Amino acid sequence: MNRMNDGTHRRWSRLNLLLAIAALALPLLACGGPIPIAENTPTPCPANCPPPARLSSVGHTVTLTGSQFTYFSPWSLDSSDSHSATLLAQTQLGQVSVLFQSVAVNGGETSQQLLNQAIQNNLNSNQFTGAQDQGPINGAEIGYIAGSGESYGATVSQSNAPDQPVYLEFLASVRGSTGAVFIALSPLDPNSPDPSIVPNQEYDHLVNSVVWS
Amino acid sequence: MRCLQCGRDAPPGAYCGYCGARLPHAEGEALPPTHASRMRAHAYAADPRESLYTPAIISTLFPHLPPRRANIARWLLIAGIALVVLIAFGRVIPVAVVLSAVLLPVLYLAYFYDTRVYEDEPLTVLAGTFLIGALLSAALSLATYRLLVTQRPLGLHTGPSVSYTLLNAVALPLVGLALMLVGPVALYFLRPRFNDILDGLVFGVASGLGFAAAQSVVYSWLIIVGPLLRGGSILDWVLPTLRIALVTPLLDAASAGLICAALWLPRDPHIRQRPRTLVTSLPFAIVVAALGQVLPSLLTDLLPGQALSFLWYLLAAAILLMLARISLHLGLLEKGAEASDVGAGMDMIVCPTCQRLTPDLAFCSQCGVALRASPKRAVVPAPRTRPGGIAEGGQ
Repeated sequence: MNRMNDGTHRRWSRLNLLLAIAALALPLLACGGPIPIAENTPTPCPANCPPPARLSSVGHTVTLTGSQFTYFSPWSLDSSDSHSATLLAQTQLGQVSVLFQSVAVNGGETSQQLLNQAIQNNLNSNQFTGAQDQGPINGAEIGYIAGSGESYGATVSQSNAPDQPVYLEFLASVRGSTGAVFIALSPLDPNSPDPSIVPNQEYDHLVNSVVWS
Repeated sequence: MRCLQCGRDAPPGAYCGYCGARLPHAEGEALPPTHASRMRAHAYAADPRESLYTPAIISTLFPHLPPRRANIARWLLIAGIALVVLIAFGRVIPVAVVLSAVLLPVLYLAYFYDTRVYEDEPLTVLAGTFLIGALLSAALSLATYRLLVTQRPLGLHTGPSVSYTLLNAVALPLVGLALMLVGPVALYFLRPRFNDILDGLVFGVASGLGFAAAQSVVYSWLIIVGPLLRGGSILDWVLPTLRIALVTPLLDAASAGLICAALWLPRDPHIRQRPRTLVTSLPFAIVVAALGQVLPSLLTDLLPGQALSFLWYLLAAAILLMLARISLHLGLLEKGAEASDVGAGMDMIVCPTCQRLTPDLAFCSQCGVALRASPKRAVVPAPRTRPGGIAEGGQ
């Protein structure tokens, strides 16, 4: 009889333990959303589509040595000096950042050489894991000056945060003795078939706003 | 022979069976007790073949394993690490990540099965440690995933904001450490018969390993479900793979194990006093484990870079592993020194470490191993014979 009571007691204790686990885990699971994925593709515009709307019509101009550019919301200026400026924008999949650089180039230096230098300086394996060249960016230009471009895919892998696939786009153009470099780093796939998560149009707005001086 | 450390008449041998202290080599040889002799640093209590300061993973986190099994576990761990690194070289990263995440937990489950330490309640112990740790880790990681991803600084030349650093490097590691302790603490109150420092260490380690495995799987989810073959150079993925396979689980296991060992030590019925050393005290263990979780995370945010981050976590894991080892060693010695009713009958048993006959006391008189750190089935009674004789079939 005692043994039966012990067995029943043990079963109840185990049940209590499992209930306690569930009670602890379920509220936390309920708090957490799933791993974020992009929202559904919006319904395509059938015809006579309006131009892309901006949240704010007020533009901000940043002047660098040899060039200036204009940005609108949702971009915000993170840091700048006379040679470079960093813009940030928040998306549902994380932060998108853009780096503009203005550099003095030696005579004869091409946009491809400038591009290679920018890639070498910024695409280090210490920050980006498994960087893979995804090919040239056709029609690359900055401020309507034809240049060179290359896109990369990589992963940001950190001990204390989720691993995140990122996409880098490098553009470079040279005009006279001035070179301009545009680097975009984003968790949004620029090759995604879903137009709602392709940031290329935002990049185009920025690079087309560049005015060479 | 009288032990100068505990003052009791110890059976003949190299070590005092009661307190584990080294006995004088010859009759009349006087060895006054010193700090060094009390520490017994030359012979780790759970495996006297190793020094206390040997940075050994297996004898620290798998303390019940007898020598032969410990060697097998060591080679399995080395082979497992080599396998996942080779897979990472081949850039089959989803496979490398999953195997890395489960490598140490699977070894630990095999350890549970092999040593049968909790054979009468294996499900309760596994549910209360590994499963709760994994569940709570998955819940925390999923709950904070979106926040971490959206707030993380991805800029090429931008640093983290103060709020992100506080959340990611201070709050989350501390909450994580607290969640690792939920299961073991529940067992502490629900199962008072688990009253040994080894119980505490094993429960903490199991919970920490479950926590680390679940967190690694959630954090690497986009890699796991991504393309099978990843780009980059063959060396690119080695550090992330080693981090998931070894560094993160060791850090979490050692943090939780250190705290749980200190929590369980005063509960031992053989101990009449509170722990006498700083390393085995609960406040010290909590502070050190919290620092071990927070500092590498903080340094990772403030001094970014994959290699540096790996180094910070490796250093923290190594320090905490060593502290857990010292805590277990001193705890076992303290227990032995305080024990007064162990082995009152002076039955002879076969030591699972040296395979020689020894009185059934807290420590083997021949090799000095803490006999309670042996699996239950390994300690077998022996026919009465003189101490020190080699048991039949011994190594």
